[in-house]
Amino acid sequence: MIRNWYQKLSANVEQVIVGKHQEVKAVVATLLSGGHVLLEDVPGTGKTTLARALAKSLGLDFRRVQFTPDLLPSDLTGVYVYLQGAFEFRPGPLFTGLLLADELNRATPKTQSALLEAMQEHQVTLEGKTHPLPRPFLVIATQNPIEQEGTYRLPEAQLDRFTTRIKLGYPQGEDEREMLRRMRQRSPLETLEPVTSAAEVLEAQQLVRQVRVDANLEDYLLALVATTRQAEGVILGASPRAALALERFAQALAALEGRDYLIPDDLKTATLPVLAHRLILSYEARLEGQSAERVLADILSRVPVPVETPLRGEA
Amino acid sequence: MLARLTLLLLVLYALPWHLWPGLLVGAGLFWLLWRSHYRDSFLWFASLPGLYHFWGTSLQTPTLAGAFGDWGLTTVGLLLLGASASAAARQERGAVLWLVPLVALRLDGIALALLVLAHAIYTLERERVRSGEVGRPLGWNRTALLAAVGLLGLLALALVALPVRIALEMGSNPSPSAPVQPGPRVPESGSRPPGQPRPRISPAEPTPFSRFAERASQALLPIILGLMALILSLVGLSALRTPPSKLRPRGFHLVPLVAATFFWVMLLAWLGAHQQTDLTGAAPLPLPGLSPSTPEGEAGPLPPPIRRGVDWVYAVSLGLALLVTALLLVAVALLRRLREGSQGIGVSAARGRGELPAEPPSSRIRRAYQRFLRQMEQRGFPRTTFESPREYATRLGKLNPRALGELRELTELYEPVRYGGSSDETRAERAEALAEALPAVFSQAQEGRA
Repeated sequence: MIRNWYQKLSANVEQVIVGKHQEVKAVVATLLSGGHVLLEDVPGTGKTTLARALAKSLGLDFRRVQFTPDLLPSDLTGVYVYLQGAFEFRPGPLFTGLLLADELNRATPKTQSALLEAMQEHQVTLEGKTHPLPRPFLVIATQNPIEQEGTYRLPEAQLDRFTTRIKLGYPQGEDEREMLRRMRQRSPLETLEPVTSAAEVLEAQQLVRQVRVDANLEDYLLALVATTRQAEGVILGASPRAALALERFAQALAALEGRDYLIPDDLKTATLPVLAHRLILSYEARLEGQSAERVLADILSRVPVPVETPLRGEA
Repeated sequence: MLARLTLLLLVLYALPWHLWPGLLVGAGLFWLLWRSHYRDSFLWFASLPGLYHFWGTSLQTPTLAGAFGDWGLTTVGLLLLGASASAAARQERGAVLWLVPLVALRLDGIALALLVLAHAIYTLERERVRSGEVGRPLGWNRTALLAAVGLLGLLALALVALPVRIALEMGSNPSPSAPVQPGPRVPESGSRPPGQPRPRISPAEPTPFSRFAERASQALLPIILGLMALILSLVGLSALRTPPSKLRPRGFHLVPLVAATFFWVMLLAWLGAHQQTDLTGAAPLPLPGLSPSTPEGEAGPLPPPIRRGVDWVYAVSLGLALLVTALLLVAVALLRRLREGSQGIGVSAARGRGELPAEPPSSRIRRAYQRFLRQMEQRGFPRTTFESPREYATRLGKLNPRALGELRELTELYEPVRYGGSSDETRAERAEALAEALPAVFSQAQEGRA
């Protein structure tokens, strides 16, 4: 069921985003796992376009906020205004189905942290009153890894709230040519129609939770997470929240392939996007050219995968 | 391995020593077959090693019937040995019981002790493998402990029973390795003297049937034998061109080849015998009823022509019976395949053989995958510990792109069982077939690279 649903959705999104099957799949899997996405890449690689295309295809409300140093938390959450003798709540752009937080690292830490409660608990508390956010709720934040002037590095607590960090990268040669041809007359984004609804997304999220996780695969997942905490050159390994995110994201990947059970490959595929942005390397390791991706690749090549042991005693 | 050696020892002890060369050659042949993708095809090859008994037999001597007897015993011994070893490879509980008929041929304490020993060793080996699979030490396995206690008890019982020997007549030629009777035997009244062949009942005059067989065999037999050998060879060779992954696991496609070998041997034997007859005396020997040299009522050795006619009828009948049996087996296999195709539900191989208890399909698939891993490891393509089944299949597929489809299929059969907890009856047979066929493809690829 989810497989057909995803094929319909990805076909619609890929009318706009050319040649980014795996990246689109990762974003949709993050949505189904109930998490949020951090898109990290240089400007002009299609981060905003992907978010808009996804919002349109999913039939969700879409808001875009350009994060700047002077952005206040109330600009996101909303404010109480005094009208006709009473305070009335005016919801901010957080109250939407899909929020694009563009250049998140340009806002001050105070504004960044305003997103924490919304991302984790899907609610906003103002003046002692809690306001639930609509469901589904997906934050797609972007940040530019190159330009560091006038930016505020995202704190670890904030990074940990993002289920995945995805890099779009430049399109391949033929894909870029195809993009030129498609955009020549007018953007396909303008004519994009929704192919699903919020209710179907919520139903798919429920189905993802039912994907079976074998006990040996649980052990494998825990071994992966535990190894990040002891890996050489790593100051801060993956948190228990990261373990939860890894399992849920891998379940979503399995569901998108039409399976109701997890396989080791789901966890392997999920490891890099889910864990890489959560690891903090030591200064010496970074000086030696080490990266979180390399550490994780090394861990994946060391932790044994639960498969049958060859049958002994057979000729 | 030790269990298989004990099984072989039991077979050797139970059968006369002059059958040992054929039995040893057969055991070696089985060992080679087990290392190939023709794993269970011993059914068809069991009849080949005993054919050497026909070497040097002459139509004018009474050795042909003896050769058929020895050949039959060797074949039956190898069939039972193969069935037992094959059941042991599948880790069936009663694998050693296949050899009980052989023990019945020589029912004494040593044979019983060997049977019990083979069963005990096999049970211990089986429990060791199973304990390894579940990661539990063997010492804590209740079945293994019971088997060890039972081994000691039954061995003691068998050794107590050792002095009691029951000698059975196994044919016209007493075996040199037959047990010696403890006491002197008193010959029965009217019985033949010891060491002399049992007299054969034969008609005083040749029957019309034996005369017809005598004449027909001269002209029709070589033609029929040659044609059958040629046709079956062509059919068998064409089956060998099929890709290993498409072959049936039990080696049914080899039946024509084995039958062709049988016909070739029969044809060569006929040609050799015919040439010998021509050299020794081209003129046909006189019929027994017309022979003046044999006095009436005297119980001497039978004249050659009658024996010749009777032996050829015997040979042709046996050959036809074997052929009909082989064809029936093929027909049963084909019918079973057709039924599986029409019903869409595969019949478990274990159920088809009437084994108890039937192994669940999920266990069969996992065991097949284990065997596949083992075979690939032996061929120099082991799975590394950090590789998932899909990654392993992809790596092997790069080495041998022709096998990529089958590798992916096997992986897709294995994954739902291992990680999804599903148990699909229809998939077990296919997984077993792929797990047996795929390693051979890589063996060929390896040889090609070398």
